[in-house]
Amino acid sequence: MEKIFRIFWKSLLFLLILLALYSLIQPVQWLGKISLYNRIYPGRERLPFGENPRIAYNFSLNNLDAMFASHKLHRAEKQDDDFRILFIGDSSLWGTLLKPEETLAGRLDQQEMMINGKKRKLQTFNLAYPTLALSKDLLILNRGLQYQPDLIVWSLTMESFPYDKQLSTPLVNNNLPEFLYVAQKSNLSAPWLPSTTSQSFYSRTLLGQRHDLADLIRLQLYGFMWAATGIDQDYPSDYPKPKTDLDADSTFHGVEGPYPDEKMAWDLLTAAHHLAGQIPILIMNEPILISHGKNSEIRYNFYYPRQAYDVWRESLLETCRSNHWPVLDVWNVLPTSDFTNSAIHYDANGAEKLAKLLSDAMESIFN
Amino acid sequence: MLLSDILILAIGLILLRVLPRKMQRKLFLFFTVLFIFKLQPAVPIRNFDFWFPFLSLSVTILCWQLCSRSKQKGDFTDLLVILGAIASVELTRLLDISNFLTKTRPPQIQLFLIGLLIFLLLLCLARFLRFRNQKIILTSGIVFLIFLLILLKTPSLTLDISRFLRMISGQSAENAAISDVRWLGISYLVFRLLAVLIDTRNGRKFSMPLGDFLIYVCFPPALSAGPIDRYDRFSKDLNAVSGELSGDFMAAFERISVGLFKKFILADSLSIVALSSQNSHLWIHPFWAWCALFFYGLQIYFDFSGYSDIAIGLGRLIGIHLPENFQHPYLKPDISKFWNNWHMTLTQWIRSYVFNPMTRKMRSNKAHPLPPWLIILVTQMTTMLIIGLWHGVTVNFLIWGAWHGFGLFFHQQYYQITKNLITELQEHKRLLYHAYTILSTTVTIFFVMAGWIWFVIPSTGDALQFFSRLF
Repeated sequence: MEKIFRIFWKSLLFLLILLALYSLIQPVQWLGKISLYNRIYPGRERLPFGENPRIAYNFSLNNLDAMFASHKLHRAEKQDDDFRILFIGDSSLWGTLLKPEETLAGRLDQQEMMINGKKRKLQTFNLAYPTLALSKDLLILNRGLQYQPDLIVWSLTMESFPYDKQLSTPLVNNNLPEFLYVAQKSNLSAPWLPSTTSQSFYSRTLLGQRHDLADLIRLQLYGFMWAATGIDQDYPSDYPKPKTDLDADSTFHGVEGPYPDEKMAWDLLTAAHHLAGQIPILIMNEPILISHGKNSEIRYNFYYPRQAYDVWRESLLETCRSNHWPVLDVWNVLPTSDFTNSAIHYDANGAEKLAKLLSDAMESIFN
Repeated sequence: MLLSDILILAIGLILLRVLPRKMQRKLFLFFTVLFIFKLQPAVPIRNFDFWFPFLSLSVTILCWQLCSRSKQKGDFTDLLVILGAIASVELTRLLDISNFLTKTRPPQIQLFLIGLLIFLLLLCLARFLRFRNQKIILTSGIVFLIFLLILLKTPSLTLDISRFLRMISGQSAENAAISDVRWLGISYLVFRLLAVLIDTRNGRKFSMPLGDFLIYVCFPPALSAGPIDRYDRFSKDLNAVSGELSGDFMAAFERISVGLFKKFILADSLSIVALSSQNSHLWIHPFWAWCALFFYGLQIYFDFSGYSDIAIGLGRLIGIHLPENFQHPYLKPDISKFWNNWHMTLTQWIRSYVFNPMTRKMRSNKAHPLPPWLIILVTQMTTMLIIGLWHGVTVNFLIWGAWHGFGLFFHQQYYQITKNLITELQEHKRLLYHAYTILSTTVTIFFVMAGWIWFVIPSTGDALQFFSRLF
């Protein structure tokens, strides 16, 4: 028994030293940069996201280093005649229910276009992420700018604007120190921004970070499945269609009538432009489903009451006009039949139509 | 087994080990009974996370009653301890502790008493019958157990059982599913019981005390995934358990650690990338399909051998030296050696109770002697088909068994032809012999891996389609 106790104490001491070293080194931060993607497996066409990993061969994690290291952008070479476009936005741009090549970014990739009188090959990268918050787009934009883009296409919708969504979105919430750094870098001083962040001791320990570590390994394992099957999301054969018969509810986030400007993150648009500097950002007001069913005179769809949306859209266009930001307003260009499982998710047909409109818009901006 | 189960089991076994010998055996028995309930997974049929372990214990005791010549006073005490442990599980119903010993609340007291009464009546009947026409009674026991295994391993019959159990539990039979009938460790339990019944029927004296027998059959570490120990060997270890733990503790700790690493790190990670029935049609290039197939082969090995390591390690904590189950099977140079090192205890069981008796019987037929190659073909094929069907009565498991049956037969024929040449290589041309060994190991591993396709993909059409994806 004595021997057993001796072994027990030694093991305990060894474990404590290991845990202390872990807390000091914080390896999860640099481990995220180590990746089999772009080396053994091809890089992912879009950022990792998924709620059903065993079917989607993809899942959601919060380590931005690991997410970017798994993306094909991370090791993409840029030739002289390449015109590199980064697409940021939400799930509609990420391409829920669409194959990578069917997304807006996928459709435009490798196309040739006259840019400032020169023939350039479009090199597009899908950096959209399926949550609705502008703050998350700013965080991704900051990372994306390290990859020398020539243009940013930012697809957004009204649902991404309310203040209360900006910090609660998981990617920002779990990368708050980095977001605050980006906010400072982009001169963002919004009332909803916390001044500091505090990290509990537990969250710095091996126990507190065990899920993050497991996620890094899982991301590499799912990379095999991605490479071997080309699948990066669940494609159910059947899914519920978005509602076209709507409730007689004219509120948006509990507010009747126009949603107050002071409750919306307009300042994030300015911050993004400040961050991008000389690199142009083309803002795209993304298509929404316009229903013709019950109460469609009150609401466009599940997300938006008509009045609030119309006022917001006008404000968006006015903000872009006054700041001389290029904007493509395509909110109503797609018929109901082009939407899949949500009032903002369009199908392959819809993406093709949008690609054409976007292509035209880019040509007019650069020529 | 969950990690928490393994931890509780380890602590429990260590505590039992250091107890005074007088108390040790009875408490070990009590602990074993409780743990059968604890390990039983949840089932959607009402109360069957209680009734399945109850049935396991009942069948074990009834078999013991039919076979045993034990006349120890302790047997009655053992029975009381077992019943006391079952009653304790039932009483957790009154304490309203969910997920403590059973996954859901145990059945109502009246139902429990009816179940207990039926069991006691059957026990009296078995006691009454054991000295009358013992051969017929034991044969009936063997047939019953084989029938039970067939019921539980045949998907359509299992579905019928689920429907029936749902009906008697007052649940809708429409929702019945094969996965409803998750009876913990029944395959291993039946094989252990069959060994005793067959041996007793063949005239071997069986006098293991009830408590020891129940611990042997339901030994918690080995209940869900083996190894299948022999009762006489297990009994020797059980009777030699000492309070001195330190030597065993180190060996157990090492073995359990290896097992946990294999099972929860390697096998669980490989399960993400391994071939499965869901992804068999998704591979876009033969290279990835081969990778997935090899990952499956490794996954099943690490999963199974990891569990065996954990079981062997946990056994060591209480002084039981469970037999080895895997010895680097994928590194063996021929299919025969592979099967001597893969799931060894099952192979040995089948060899003892199927292959050897069958071979003896066929060889002893002097009136119509059969050619040796035919005897080998029939016995090896039968053995492997039984191993295949033990995993499930389906076409693909049958093909998997036949795949290995033919493999073993052809290897045997090949060995007969080449054994002199191989011996010469081994003795005089070492380099060539090493190259030959590497080549034969490679051929063997590819053969075994290709065989897993039948094992992992339940539909024959899908399995054939996957074969085509490999080329």
